[in-house]
Amino acid sequence: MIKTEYDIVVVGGGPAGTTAARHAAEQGVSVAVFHRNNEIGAPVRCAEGISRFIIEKYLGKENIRDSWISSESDKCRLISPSGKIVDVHLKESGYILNRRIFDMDLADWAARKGAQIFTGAFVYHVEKHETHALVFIEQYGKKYQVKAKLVIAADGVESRIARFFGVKTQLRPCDIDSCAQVLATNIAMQKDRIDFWVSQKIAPGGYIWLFPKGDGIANIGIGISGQHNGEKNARQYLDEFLAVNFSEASILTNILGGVPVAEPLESFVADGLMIIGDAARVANPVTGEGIGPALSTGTRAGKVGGRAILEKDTSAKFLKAFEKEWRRDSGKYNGFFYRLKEVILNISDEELDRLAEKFADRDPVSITLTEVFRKVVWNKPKLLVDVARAFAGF
Amino acid sequence: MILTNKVLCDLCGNCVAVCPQSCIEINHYCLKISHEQCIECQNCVAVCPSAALKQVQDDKN
Repeated sequence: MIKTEYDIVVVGGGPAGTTAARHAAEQGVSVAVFHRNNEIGAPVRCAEGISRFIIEKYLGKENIRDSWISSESDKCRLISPSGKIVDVHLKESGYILNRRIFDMDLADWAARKGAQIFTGAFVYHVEKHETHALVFIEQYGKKYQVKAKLVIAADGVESRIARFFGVKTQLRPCDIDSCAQVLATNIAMQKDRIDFWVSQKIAPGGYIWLFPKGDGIANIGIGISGQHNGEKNARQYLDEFLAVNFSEASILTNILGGVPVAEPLESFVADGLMIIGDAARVANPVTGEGIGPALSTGTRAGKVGGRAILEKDTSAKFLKAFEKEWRRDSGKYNGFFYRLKEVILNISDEELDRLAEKFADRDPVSITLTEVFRKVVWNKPKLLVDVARAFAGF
Repeated sequence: MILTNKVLCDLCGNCVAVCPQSCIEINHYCLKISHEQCIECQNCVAVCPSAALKQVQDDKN
């Protein structure tokens, strides 16, 4: 039952929203999560990859369940436009999750700590007042009005909620990747390796990925820059790729989506508002990885948000602590990755082939992502230094 | 005017993300454009992964 008043209202029941809700609820404040879709964790608009280090850091190694993990990869293959292969051994392995189960468990976890989760609950308007916000919700044809001291916007790529507080979250088309993905079976692949096809011809301004989900089953998807989405769209590019490379595949799921490949919002807070996850534009602009940043912003927002209620101060100034900490730690390379994206976006297919050539006949164990990206930005001294730092863990 | 093809639309929200007027809304089951506020910048058309949005000439017929 939706109550008329909560300390904190979280909009969006993805990993960012439910993680924030859990950390806030643990402090004894009242929390409601409003999730638009009828089901938590579905549809899965995500390639489902996350680094093992990040998930362990934010959720705790002891809490990670086998059912969340579809597969583990410590190898990565880059395929150039003409089909040249660069195999890279990752220093740190990554998980391909099962988001349906993962998201559901995170929501369940938040609920067990005291947060109330509502599905099928669409927040259509928010009205900001001096000491609180009025949140307007529609759930199965019925309308509700809820008073909240603090709103946490975790509404994903759309990022509409923050706009009700006067925060400009609109993306330029060049700062969003337009994506299509299938979950496909009957795929010839290696189940401990993630593959990337980079080519302006097959994926302009982006790439095609294959993330293994198990034996012969994988997420295969494409992200193309919004500015290149012209005569052909993401879905058509992906269909063509599948017809050429995986003609025997059966498609079990078809999904469309988008990844903000932008710099993080200028500010993640306003009086009575915190913005987290994709809504704050914190996904990695090069890899598109967004689950890790969702957990890192969600964790900090939940902790600081809960404290804000207990200390009766939901001013932007108080809430800012969560953002400062994030920028110092998890977000310190986002700006660099954005600049790196701008470079990668403009590399021609000929140049990509030449780059791949430089790794011919090398032992994959000796190739690191640092080296790959160093070669990519060899003529950009400012970026070169950061490549070593940012990819140190990979 | 921007029109939506509901068969192609997957409700992914890319159009909402780039709309400078905030005049696109996705509730549980459909995409809604407030045509009075729309300035026809076509950002939404540019980022749609499946050509579900299209600009057409305003024609009452």
